Amino acid sequence: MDVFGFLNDVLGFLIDVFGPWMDVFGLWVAAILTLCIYSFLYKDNPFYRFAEHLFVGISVGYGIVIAIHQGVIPLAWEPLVEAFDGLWIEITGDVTPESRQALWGLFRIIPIFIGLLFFARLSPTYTWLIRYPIAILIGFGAGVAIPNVLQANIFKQTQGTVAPFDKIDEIVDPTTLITVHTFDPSFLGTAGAVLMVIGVLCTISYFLFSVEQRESYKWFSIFGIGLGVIGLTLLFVDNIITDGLTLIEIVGFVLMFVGVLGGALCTVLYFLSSVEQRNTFNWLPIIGVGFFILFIIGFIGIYGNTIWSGTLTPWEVFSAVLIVVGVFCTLTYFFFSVEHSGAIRWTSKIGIAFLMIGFGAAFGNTVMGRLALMIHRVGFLINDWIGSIIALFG
Amino acid sequence: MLEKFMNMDRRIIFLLVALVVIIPTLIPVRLPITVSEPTQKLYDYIEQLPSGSNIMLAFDYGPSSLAEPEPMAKAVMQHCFSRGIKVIGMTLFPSTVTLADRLMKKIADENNAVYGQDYVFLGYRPGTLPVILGMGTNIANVFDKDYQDTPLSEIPMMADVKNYDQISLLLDLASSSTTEAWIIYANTKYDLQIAAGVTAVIIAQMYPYLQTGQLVGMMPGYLGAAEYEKLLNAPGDGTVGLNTASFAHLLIIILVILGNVAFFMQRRKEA
Amino acid sequence: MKRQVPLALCFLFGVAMIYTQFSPHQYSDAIYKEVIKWGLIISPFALVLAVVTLIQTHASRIRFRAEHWQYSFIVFIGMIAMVLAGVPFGEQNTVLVWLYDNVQVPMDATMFSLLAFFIASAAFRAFRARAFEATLLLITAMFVMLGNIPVGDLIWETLMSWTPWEDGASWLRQWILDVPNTAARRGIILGVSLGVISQSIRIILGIERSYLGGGD
Repeated sequence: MDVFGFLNDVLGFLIDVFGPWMDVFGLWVAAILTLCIYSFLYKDNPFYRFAEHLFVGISVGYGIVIAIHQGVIPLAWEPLVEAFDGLWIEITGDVTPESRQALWGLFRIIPIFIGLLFFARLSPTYTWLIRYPIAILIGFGAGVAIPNVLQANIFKQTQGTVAPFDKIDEIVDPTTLITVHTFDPSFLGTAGAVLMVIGVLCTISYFLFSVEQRESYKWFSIFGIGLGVIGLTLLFVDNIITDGLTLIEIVGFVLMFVGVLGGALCTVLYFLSSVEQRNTFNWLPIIGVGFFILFIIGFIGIYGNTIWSGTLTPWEVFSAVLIVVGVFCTLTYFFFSVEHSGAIRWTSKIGIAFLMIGFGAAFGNTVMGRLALMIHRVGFLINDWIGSIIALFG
Repeated sequence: MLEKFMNMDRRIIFLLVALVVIIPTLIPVRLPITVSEPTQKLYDYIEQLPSGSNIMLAFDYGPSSLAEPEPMAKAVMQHCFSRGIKVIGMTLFPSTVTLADRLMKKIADENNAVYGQDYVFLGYRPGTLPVILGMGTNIANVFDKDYQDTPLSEIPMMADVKNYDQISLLLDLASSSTTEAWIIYANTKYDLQIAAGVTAVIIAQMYPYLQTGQLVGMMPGYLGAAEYEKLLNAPGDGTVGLNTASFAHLLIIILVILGNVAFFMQRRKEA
Repeated sequence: MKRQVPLALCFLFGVAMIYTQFSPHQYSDAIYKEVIKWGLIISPFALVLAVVTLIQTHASRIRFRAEHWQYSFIVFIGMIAMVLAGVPFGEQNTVLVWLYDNVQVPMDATMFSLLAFFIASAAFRAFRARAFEATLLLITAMFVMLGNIPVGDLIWETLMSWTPWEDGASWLRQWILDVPNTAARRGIILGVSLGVISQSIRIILGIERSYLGGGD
């Protein structure tokens, strides 16, 4: 320790005397090492290798110093010393509440001992002992992760995906400045709308399946049609009960019924036909889609007014829908590791497209990040280093 | 000819890159900057904090990527000091301790801020998760002393700060996944408001958290630093850097286009 | 002792952390704080693993005279210099700080800045619109790059002045990041998080044991 102390005193003295020169010297060292590393761009060479290895050594050394002085000493050593002080006071008799409190620090011997087991890595026979601290840290991390990741990354993120739709019908009352929702259906209406949406999705998805798959998904779409019709009827009844029907609502409902039933007819006809016949009836799905469009027009006719009254612009609604589609498709791409076919093939293809846009955006940003690093170094070389040389002569 | 162009020595490209960075460094230009929403949100959030609030600044980047977070730290700390908001610095990165300590001191001196009253630097503690979680119950459990070895109880501005409840915002200056860790463990568990100043490489992955409000705002790379400097009306390293970067960006865009033109010409020739 | 005890410890600490996060009882709160404290105390020792591995790698390079083995001495010299300056005299020792400032920081920053050159070279050589997906990636990257720089809007105003949008380049960049990028990233977050949760459960229950390493 004395040798270290002496050395440090000598170095400290030198730095005090040569302080300003140490700064200049440091600038030159930094600049030369910077150029050593840039020399790699021409080709690999001893100067680069020297700098690279020096960097590894210095940074590991710094890491050790920090781990000891900012980790082991404040977290393990100092509380332990305090605890032993407390123990000493306990023995000699001059007990205070603080010294009693510090005694609890003695329990810290256990985690310190477990931490020291990492040194078992040095022994070939006892290297398995490092499993103890690792197991504790891993178990700790896993236990903490489960509830928090679930909350932060699953619940909040899913919520965020649907949250914008809440604003679709949100308006601020000009007199009270309170936010209200214009679309406020009864329970019956909500149930109807939900059933209808599920039904429509089931029915449309039928057309997305490949010919072979359709056979097995027949019942799926019959189920969908059933749900759609029930949902629509509930919605219709609800509207009559609550406020009667206006002309536009009557037209809307007619279009929706025609849409659902027409679509249903097409679907049923299509899967009643044999595979050979389907080649001649291949216009059926197209008509089915036509009916679906009628249905959409009807829906917008009835609810369009209420929906577009909100604070979201149509563009924002489009963006919100796009996010839902993107999340859904990306997840599909991830979850179906088996051969993608039919509907899954198409959704996962869309998922890939979204991922590509995401990676493209990341790449575009990465360019900015990498250039920033370089601009910083060039700024150092030109402004600090060459600047100091010019200042010396100027 | 085409073949030769496509297979040109990459050192020619290196030289071009060096030139488009060196020339604007020697002859700086200044172009108008539009402020994007995430930066504006962060600025507005700090702007509405009452004087005397505390914010925590986490210097979670290595020396390898200091170019972008440093101007961000400078801009935000300048904003905080001008509004009487106190700044508590710390880092989850062992390799940044000295750097962060010095940076805070330098910015504070420029703004006549006083150590212990306007700002404090706690230093580093190993193990990301226990550090984030531990400070949630009691900061002194993790950092019983600041980086200058002064017990927290003796630092005036820390007298009323026990845990995250007294901290209005955590700004994570990040170059890796630490922001996610702050969101998952400090925001979810302790309701600490989180904002980020991130290096450009991880900008894109932050957006889902911005949309849900799990991040109250974000400075995206050099752009974010420049935008914040514009909001403060105090152009600094971010503005200079972003303007310098413009030319190198254009070079890379031109390189991509040339590469593709050559590629399609060659493909046509082969067909 | 070699396998069962670590598995049991992992289970114990995992369950303790899950339980204490849901239970507001004062004992459970005390356990929660104590476990965090243990985590804090054990973590700094983990550096031993990295340092030992590094020392072993370079020592064996010197011993077996691997290619460029002489440089391994430089690693040791650098490391020992820092340890001698820092371990006895603390992390704010002048010599340590001087070496950190003038050797470690500039080299770390420069090393990474090499990537700026490589990304430019890769942009020219590898960034090709070969297929639909690649084209999508390329076009998005171009628009984001243009939106990131102040020149982008100027170029937009010049070339696209017939469009009704002002500052189109930065607007488009923001929209790409806000909408399709958010969707893709959220898909990734959801997928990865479900993976993390199921893996965590497997770890706690002792089904996933790869962290124990090989051997018996």
